[in-house]
Amino acid sequence: MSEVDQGDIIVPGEKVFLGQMRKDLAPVYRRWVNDLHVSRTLGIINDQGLPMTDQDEEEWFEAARKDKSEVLFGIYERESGKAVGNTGLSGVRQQNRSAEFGIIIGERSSHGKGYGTEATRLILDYGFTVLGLHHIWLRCVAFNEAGIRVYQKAGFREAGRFREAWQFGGRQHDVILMDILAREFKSPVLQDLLGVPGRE
Amino acid sequence: MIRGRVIKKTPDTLIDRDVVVPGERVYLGQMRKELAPLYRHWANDLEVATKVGLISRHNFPMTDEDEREWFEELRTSRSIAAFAVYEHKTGDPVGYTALIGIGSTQRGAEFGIAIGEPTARGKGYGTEATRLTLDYGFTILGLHYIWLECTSINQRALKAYERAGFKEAGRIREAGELAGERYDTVFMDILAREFESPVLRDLLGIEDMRQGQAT
Repeated sequence: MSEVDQGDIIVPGEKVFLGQMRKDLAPVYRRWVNDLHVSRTLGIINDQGLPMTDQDEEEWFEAARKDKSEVLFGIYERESGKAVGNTGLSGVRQQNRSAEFGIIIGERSSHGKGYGTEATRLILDYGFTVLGLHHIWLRCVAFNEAGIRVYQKAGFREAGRFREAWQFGGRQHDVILMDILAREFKSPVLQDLLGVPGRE
Repeated sequence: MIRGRVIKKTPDTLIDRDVVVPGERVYLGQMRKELAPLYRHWANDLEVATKVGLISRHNFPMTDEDEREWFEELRTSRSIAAFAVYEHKTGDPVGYTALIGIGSTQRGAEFGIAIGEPTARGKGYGTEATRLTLDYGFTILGLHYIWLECTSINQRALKAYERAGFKEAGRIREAGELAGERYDTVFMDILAREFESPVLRDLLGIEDMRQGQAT
């Protein structure tokens, strides 16, 4: 297994790039999710999805690969080519031009380096510039303060909150909704890279 | 509204009328397979489907096969509590209601409802069926919170949910599109402690049980 194989650079950033998800990295993806420090802010921890087995991981990978309403990327460190996380847009619907955003920075050593913020910007760029989405939204537990800061830096705004909708650590936490519209987002990479005219 | 064809409703006799959650004007009973064509007919009502955002969520229009699969899923899934809504006076089925995603450690669920019969709308049936379903969710299932998703164009439904006790939790702006106009997706929620059981607490003698325990 070569974690340093760069794969295809699909959306290039400065510190990270978005490339394809890779089946040979499935054990790495599984390891990330089984790290409670990482998954404590993810839905899977309370959906009775943990611990994840190799077989669960393969099934998830196959389902995600075939689901055309889901766009998934691997996040790779630019310098080393090392896989550090995944990000995706789910429920991509042509008719509504809307999608839900999700991200995981699985390698703990990659936390606090701005990788999440950049990867978020890159996938928003893909969603708005390439897919032509009008609207992207996300859900996040209120205690994930680092995540919320990242999303705000990337351009998301709070849209509302479900009160006490998440139990963790023996108490109920709010779930925060955030959203961003295409007209509020300035393409950091793809518009220049692809030579597409800007939004009027 | 354009009606393709009229579905003959099976008259409900007292024998097969299981009143699971009784209200004043409507009650919640079981979903019935022989009514599947009627459920399909409701789901294929374009006005309903666009207002609830169904078109973008599922394959539309719904075929008989889709309907059978959907019914089987409802019936066998232990994470969905689905009820048909019946008019008390006539026993006629007028819609359905459901709590989706129950049984997780979260003690939360998503609420959904459709009053499919056009003649049954505007009578407060939706509001009452919502209260009865919340009662089931909080009193019987012991849920902590119930939430829903609705489009901002469905004003009548938003009012019914508010009357039943839901509060707006937020809205994601311009999340959908109909006839070239963007509309918001509205989220609402309600917590168990904000809900007063209209029926089941008295019906099942829950206060008496508590007192019995205390002594």
